[in-house]
Amino acid sequence: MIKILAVIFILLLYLIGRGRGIITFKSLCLNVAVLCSLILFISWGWNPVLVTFPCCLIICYITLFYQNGRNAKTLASFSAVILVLILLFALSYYIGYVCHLGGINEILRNEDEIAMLSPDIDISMVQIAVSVIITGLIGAEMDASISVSSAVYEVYINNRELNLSELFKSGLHIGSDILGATMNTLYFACLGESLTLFILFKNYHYSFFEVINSKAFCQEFVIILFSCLACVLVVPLTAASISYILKNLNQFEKYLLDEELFSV
Amino acid sequence: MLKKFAAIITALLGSKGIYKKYLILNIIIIAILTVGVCFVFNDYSWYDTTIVQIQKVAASPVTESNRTKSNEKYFQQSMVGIIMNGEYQGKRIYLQNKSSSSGVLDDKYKSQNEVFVKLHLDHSSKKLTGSIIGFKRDKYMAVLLALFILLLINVTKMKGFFTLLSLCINIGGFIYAVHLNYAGHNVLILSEFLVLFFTFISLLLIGGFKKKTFVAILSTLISLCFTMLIFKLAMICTQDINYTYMEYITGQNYMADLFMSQVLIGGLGAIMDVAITETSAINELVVVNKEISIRELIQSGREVGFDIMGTMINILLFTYVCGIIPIVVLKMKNSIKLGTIIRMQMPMELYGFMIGGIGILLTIPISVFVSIVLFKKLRRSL
Repeated sequence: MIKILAVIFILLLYLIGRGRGIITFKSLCLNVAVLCSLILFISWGWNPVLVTFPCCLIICYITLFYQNGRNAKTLASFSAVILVLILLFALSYYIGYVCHLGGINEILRNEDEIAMLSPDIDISMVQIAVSVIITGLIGAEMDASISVSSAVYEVYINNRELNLSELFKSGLHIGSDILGATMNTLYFACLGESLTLFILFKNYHYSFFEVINSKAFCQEFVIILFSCLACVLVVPLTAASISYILKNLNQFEKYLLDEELFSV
Repeated sequence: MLKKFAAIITALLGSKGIYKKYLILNIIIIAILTVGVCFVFNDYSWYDTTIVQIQKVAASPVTESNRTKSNEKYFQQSMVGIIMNGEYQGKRIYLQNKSSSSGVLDDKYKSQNEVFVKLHLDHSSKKLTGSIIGFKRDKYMAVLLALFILLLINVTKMKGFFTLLSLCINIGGFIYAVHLNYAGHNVLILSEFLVLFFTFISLLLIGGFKKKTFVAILSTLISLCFTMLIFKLAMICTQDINYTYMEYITGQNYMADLFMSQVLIGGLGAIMDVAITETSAINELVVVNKEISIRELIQSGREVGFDIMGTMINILLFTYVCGIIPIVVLKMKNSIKLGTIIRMQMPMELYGFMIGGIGILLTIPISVFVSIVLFKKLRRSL
């Protein structure tokens, strides 16, 4: 089953994307490899939070610089994404600890598959929860960021007289268009995943207050909320950094590889 | 350095005059959110379950002889707390809890934590005792939600309202559907209606009441049909899905339907996102240049598709995969190899990701085709 789906997926990727499809596929494979090694490192007993951060950096590097090339857009996105990641790392660490979000939730632990496993793993589950939140948000964050930076870039290419503030505002304007759609994607992905959870809550006669305080619900809720928060934070930061880079090109000359910008 | 930074910020924000309007808006929103959060912080009387605020915690390590291999430490916590609601409000209560250093199945409580408690009503002893049944998380969730709403509205201005509105209406529809399912309706049929509802509400609220919104709705629905058709065909060809590893299915027997609806709703958001981006792009091109040829439109549509497909597939990958990390780590610590988990105990999230990815890829040509037909051909014939 999964093999057939994978074959269809790769075939479509090639038919629709051609050259770009292959690049997408390669970076997807690299991302999956990074994720697998993240899981491996955690299971070897390394500190989950400390492992997640470099893994996120590698994922950002692959997705932005490998998939989209090295230029002003990706440079701006990269800096904004890293900044938001550091901010949210701190926030999610705090929330994970005070909300007791780690561990297997009260519903899953009763399932046969989990009940058979020994809980003596000697790894802090709260830290794993932090790495879950961070890996969950990074995809959406990069998407929002790269959309904003490439849109601002297009605006700048078509109208080079715009000043810093005007570029920033057009970035915010485009960003608010993108945010709605990105949040929708996240929201439905989470809703689909937690459909069974909600049906279970209903079948077990959970009350509203029990639901909003349960670990099962809060774990899902925090993942989507942090993803949306990351998208919202990254939009103004990307708009600021791309407009700054475009207006101070001579400072960034050595990092940028595209010729288009310098041929005025 | 700091001076330079401040100069950049003022340059970014431009003239200050227009921000007065948003200052007032901000004050109103902050006021509403603060009232809401304060309310959640003091909502003890709304709960029927007894809530205890822990005052003092004493933990003593417990050594267990049968656990030899790992360094796992166990603690016995004895706590004193004050009851915050109900009949015994204000009284002291004594609680016991067992916690471990990794906290897979248990929690470690600290002073000032608030927990739900089941009272042991035993009149023979003078001390009130109870057992902890849950942790009170609602206030932290409220703070996070308030922070998110505040930031969203500051960044997106009025558009954020519509997004939030559509999310709220969708949650309403979703809860109603769960009710109906509980009343005995088939989950797959319900989610088909739900998907129609979601598509119309979200796209109309995000895109506005315009022609391109209806084109986006049409292409979303067509792409969804094709995606589900492929999924259904793959399911019929190979009947080897193992539903045992689906999460939260205790006591349910219509797994295939449940799984289908999960995948259906999960892929919807991504498909909508691609459809709306493609139709806006094609619409923009047609409006700007009425004489643009169909070949050029297809070319630009493909370009837009190239740009979005990589990151969209990434979003799905990370959103789906992040949820399985704790369980996979737990299994690997129980000496099940990663390869075995992927091959034999395939997490259902991977199917969701594959279908979502196929959906995204299919939507690119379909939405380009639909919007070209509707924007270009129909306009000519009118």
